[in-house]
Amino acid sequence: MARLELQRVTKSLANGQRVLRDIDCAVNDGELISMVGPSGCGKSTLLRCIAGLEAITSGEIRIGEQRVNDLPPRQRNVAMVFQNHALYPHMTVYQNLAFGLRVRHVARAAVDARVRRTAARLGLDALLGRYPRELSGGQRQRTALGRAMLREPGVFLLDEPLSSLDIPLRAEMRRELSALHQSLGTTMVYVTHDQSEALSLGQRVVVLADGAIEQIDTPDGIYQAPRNRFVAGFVGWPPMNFLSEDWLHDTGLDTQCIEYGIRPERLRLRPGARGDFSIIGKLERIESFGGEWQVEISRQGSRVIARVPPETKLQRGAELRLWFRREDLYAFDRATGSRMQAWR
Amino acid sequence: MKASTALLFVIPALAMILLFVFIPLIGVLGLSLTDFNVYALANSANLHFVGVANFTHLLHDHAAWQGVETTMTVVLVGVPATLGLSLVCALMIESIGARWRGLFRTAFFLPVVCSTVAVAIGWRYLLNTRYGLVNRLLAAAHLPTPNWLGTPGLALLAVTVVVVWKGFGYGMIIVAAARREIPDELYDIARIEGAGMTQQLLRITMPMLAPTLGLLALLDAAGYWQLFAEPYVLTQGGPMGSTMSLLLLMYDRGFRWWRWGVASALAMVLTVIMWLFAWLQRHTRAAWRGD
Ligand SMILES: Nc1ncnc2c1ncn2[C@@H]1O[C@H](COP(=O)(O)OP(=O)(O)O)[C@@H](O)[C@H]1O
Ligand SMILES: [Mg+2]
Repeated sequence: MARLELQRVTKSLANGQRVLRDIDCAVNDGELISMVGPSGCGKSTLLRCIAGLEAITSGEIRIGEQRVNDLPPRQRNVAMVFQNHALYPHMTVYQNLAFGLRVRHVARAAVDARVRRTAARLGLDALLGRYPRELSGGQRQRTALGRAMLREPGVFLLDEPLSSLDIPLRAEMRRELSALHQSLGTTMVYVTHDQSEALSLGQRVVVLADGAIEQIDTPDGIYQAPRNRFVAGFVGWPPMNFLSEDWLHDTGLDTQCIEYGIRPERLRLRPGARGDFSIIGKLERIESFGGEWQVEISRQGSRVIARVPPETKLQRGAELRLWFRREDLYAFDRATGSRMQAWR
Repeated sequence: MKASTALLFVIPALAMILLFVFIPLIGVLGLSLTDFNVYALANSANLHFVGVANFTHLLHDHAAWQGVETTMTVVLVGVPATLGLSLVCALMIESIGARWRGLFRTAFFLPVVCSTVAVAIGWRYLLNTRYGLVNRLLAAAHLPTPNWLGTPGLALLAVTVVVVWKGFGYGMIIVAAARREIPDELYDIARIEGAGMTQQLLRITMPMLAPTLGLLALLDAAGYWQLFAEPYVLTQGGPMGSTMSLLLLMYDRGFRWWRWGVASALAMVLTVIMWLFAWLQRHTRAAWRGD
């Protein structure tokens, strides 16, 4: 078990592209932190740098208080799980699990005991003789996890481990992973491009964009108090509505220097207290999710989505007014994109 | 697509196979049961059905057995040498930078696409006892300068070297492609777990290349069984028949001694052996695919 600390970590490629820029982040011992960001923002690169598979250009990486910049991967006390499992196709589940121990010349009897114990823990006991191609997606992922667990690392690095699974299985594996983290108590860095996965799994969430950290906070903190327009728009589904000037004509708000955003679940079909704002547009689309509807209204080409309780009276093509409280608006400085804290 | 339409598409190919494979094959089978020779060519009254006499003749023919030995030697020495060279060069070109990769790949692959006869003639010059580059270099290093193509053992060695040199580039391309197919993450995991270069080679690269290498071994072996042009150009089967491969022997019997019956019998034997290779290849491939 170990604490992981990144100090001003920077990575540039040979072509001059800066893939990671001044990454500053500390992961506490035993913490599960998720890192989320759009594809290509440098998440995999960051994990590979932590694991020592790639060198960083500047900065410092510390694992368990030790500076590991110049240590080879095997001395960094980490284990990694990849999106595509990276199981050895010519080895059985047993051999895949035993791989690291065998490489390090652990005695055969000890290997056997540990492999079987881990396999039992992950429900792989009956599959030990199978080859990866004979496993389901979930079983493969469990095998990859088992191999990482047998490393008994200080830090687990998981690079989108669930994104190759189908959605119901993903939810199940997410719960398993969470339970596993609780029972192991090991530090974990969980990388994903799926913001809902990041929020539901991480004790804290790191939002990355274009090689730099946008915000580090608890899932609630990220959601309630995004630091800037990017985080606000990236986290939450459907994404936050950014209201162009056309929507806000009659509110008297300053739209010159400030951009306003509102989350879809904060828009309502009926007015609440006096002084509530409203916006009006043509109802373009109604999408039913059973207990909840998502409705989309448009005005001069710009669209706003709201999550509302089912309402049979709604008519496509008609005008629809949506209400919201002033304090539910998020305000962003148009020049810098950062959120104006004073607004709420 | 209707079956009749589909048939239309394969008919040209089938016709070619019939014309150039099955009809000659049946012809050869027929000839192998006769004593067809230059006299029969002049007067068909001299053509007799001899049953399996040609085959029993081959069984007692010292030259035929020497042909088997020569061919087997080239296969048994040449196949591992070719595979080894293909493997080493493939791993080499895959590990060096992209700039040099193209150059080496072209250099190693060039012999494959060159005319066998042309390169064999080139090698004959290189191996010339007095003026050849090989012996000049050896002389410069104060080493013995043997008569490469005039000494039985050395001639076979020379033929084998030329065969391997001519053939390994093909395997190299195949192995290099197979190596590229191995995902980088497998090596990433190995590095994290602490496997060094040797362990990575033995535990990942080699097992994952094994099916490809096995297939190449069969292809190479099948190819070397049909050894012909290299000894034909380099040594004409000599000295003392030491480089007389089975195919060359067949040519020798047929076109030098006009004994087409015997030559046909030899051709039939070779055909059966090649079928054996084809069968083996099909079955091992099925086994590797895991079904
Ligand atoms: N080997 C590489 N060669 C060139 N560019 C690379 C390489 N690896 C990563 N990159 C670049 O680095 C950036 C980050 O990639 P990556 O870490 O894979 O992103 P993510 O995992 O967040 O999708 C991308 O813009 C990608 O183009
Ligand atoms: Mg990635």
